[in-house]
Amino acid sequence: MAEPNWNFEGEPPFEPRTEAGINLCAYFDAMPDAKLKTYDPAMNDDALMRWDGNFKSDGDMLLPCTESEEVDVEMYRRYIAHCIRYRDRVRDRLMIKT
Amino acid sequence: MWIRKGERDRMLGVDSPIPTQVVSNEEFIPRPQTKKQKQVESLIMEWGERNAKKINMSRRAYMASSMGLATAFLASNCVYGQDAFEVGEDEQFEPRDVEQVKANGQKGKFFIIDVQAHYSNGIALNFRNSETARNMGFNLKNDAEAYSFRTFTKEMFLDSETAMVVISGVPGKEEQRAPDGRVLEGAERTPRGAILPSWLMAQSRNELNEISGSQRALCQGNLAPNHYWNAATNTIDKAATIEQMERELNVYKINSWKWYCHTDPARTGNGFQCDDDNAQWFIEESKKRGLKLFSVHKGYSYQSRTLGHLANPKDIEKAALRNPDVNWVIYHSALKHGATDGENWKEMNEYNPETGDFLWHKILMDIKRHNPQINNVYPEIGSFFNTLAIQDPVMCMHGLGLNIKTYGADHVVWGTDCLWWGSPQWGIDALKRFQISDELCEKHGYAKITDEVRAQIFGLNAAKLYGIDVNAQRNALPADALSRVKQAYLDRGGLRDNDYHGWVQHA
Repeated sequence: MAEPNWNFEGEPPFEPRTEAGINLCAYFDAMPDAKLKTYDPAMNDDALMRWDGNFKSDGDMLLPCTESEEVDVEMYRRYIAHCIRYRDRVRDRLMIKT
Repeated sequence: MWIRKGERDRMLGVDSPIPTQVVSNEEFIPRPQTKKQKQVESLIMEWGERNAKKINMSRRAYMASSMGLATAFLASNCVYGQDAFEVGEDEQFEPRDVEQVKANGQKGKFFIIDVQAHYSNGIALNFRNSETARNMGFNLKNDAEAYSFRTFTKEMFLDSETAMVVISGVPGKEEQRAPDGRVLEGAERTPRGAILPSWLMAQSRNELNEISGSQRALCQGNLAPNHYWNAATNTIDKAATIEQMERELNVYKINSWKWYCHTDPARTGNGFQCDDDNAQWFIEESKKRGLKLFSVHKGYSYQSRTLGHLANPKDIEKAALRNPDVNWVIYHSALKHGATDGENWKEMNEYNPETGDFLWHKILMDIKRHNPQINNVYPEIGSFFNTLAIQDPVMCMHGLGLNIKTYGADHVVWGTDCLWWGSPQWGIDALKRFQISDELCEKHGYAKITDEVRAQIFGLNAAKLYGIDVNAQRNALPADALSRVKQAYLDRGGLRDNDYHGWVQHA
């Protein structure tokens, strides 16, 4: 099934928006809904890094062109939690459009 | 999990004089190794092992030699079938000074200035001592060192023919004052750490030049129109910007600006464009103070709707036309990457083998095609030539051929994006040997790459932009301290490490 046109990036920021935050929102907008639904906040850091697959061996995320700061697991958890809430709120509406 | 290419190679027992897949400079998601790259890697290992035994050398020494490099280029020609690299079978066994041969005995013909050299200030790139990292069995202590100043100096100068470097910036703003109003200095200006702030680039340039007793390094300044921002009015903070501009020009004595339009160090919620009002104001202020050289990252970007499109080079057209007295060096020649590049990356980049065009390189080419009078735009080829040379030599022929045909051989500028790619020597050797096929020259009107063209690209064009007297430098550098250190290093058997610091997928 085609993914709806998610726009978590366009949502009002839930914390002061940084370049890394903007790019992380865009990253989650590109994540398939089926994948996101398998996220378990109880995963420990290492399990989360394996689940996502885009973390580097130095422990930070490889989020392209986020030049000014690094995205660590803590930041990742904050953003994905809000992204899940966003999708739960808009999923039905966007699915109808799709 | 993404790991450094060098770690991946050590795990698999690979020692290759050229990277056998594209590495990420953290500006794109690393691509998987293609089948052809795997074939090249296998041939390099097989032939290298065989050749080293034949001439009674260790594999390590062989792979670090010019014979090892020749073997790697032969392997690439064999797999891709285009003879993109001019190399003879005999060079696998007979060390041949390519430069001496190509220059008819005139050694030292190419004066190499790398305008895109990066390193960190020795921080472990925000290394987190995670359980996963601890359990991976890597010697992660090397991570910070890999980008440190000492490694930078060794790999750029001792392990390569690079004569001069421009230490190139990554975006990040400096804090200007302490809460009590005191002006901050040095590391105080980047209290949360930064990979390569302006103060550090200037300090490192000075250190390198002092150690050498000559001019080996230049540096860029990171200040851009969106670094100091008045949140209350949502407008540029001109006073703070001017204060920083004067510091970077007068204290750091930077040699060029380095702009990243798609980044947001001041947390304005947006980036900027080279042709917008704030940028024009910045340009005017910089011109008043004498600096008219702007280096701009274009291409590699992200899918953010807010920021990603700002790395498109479209804004260079108006900026270049409006400021004919300013020179614009366009990094990466605007090569774009999709966010999910896989085997289909060429399709995602809208590569057209009939025309040779691809994103966003075509937009950069169209600017000159539509405005032949533009003479102040310079495509830079770091993580462009080296990426395409090992990803798809034919696409590389188009990319380099189009740059030269469209902007002129006197406007294409050498850069590497090293140390992401390890020591730049393999890329230097690649360009010395790289050639565009007769077929493509005939069909697309490309010119063959001559040594005169190589000399322009390697250093003469950058020398003009940065005001370097190449003849004076040719006389001065062989006698400087760095040259003496290099000679001693080579006399003691110093070997280049085929160690690539950019990221690849850990299978």
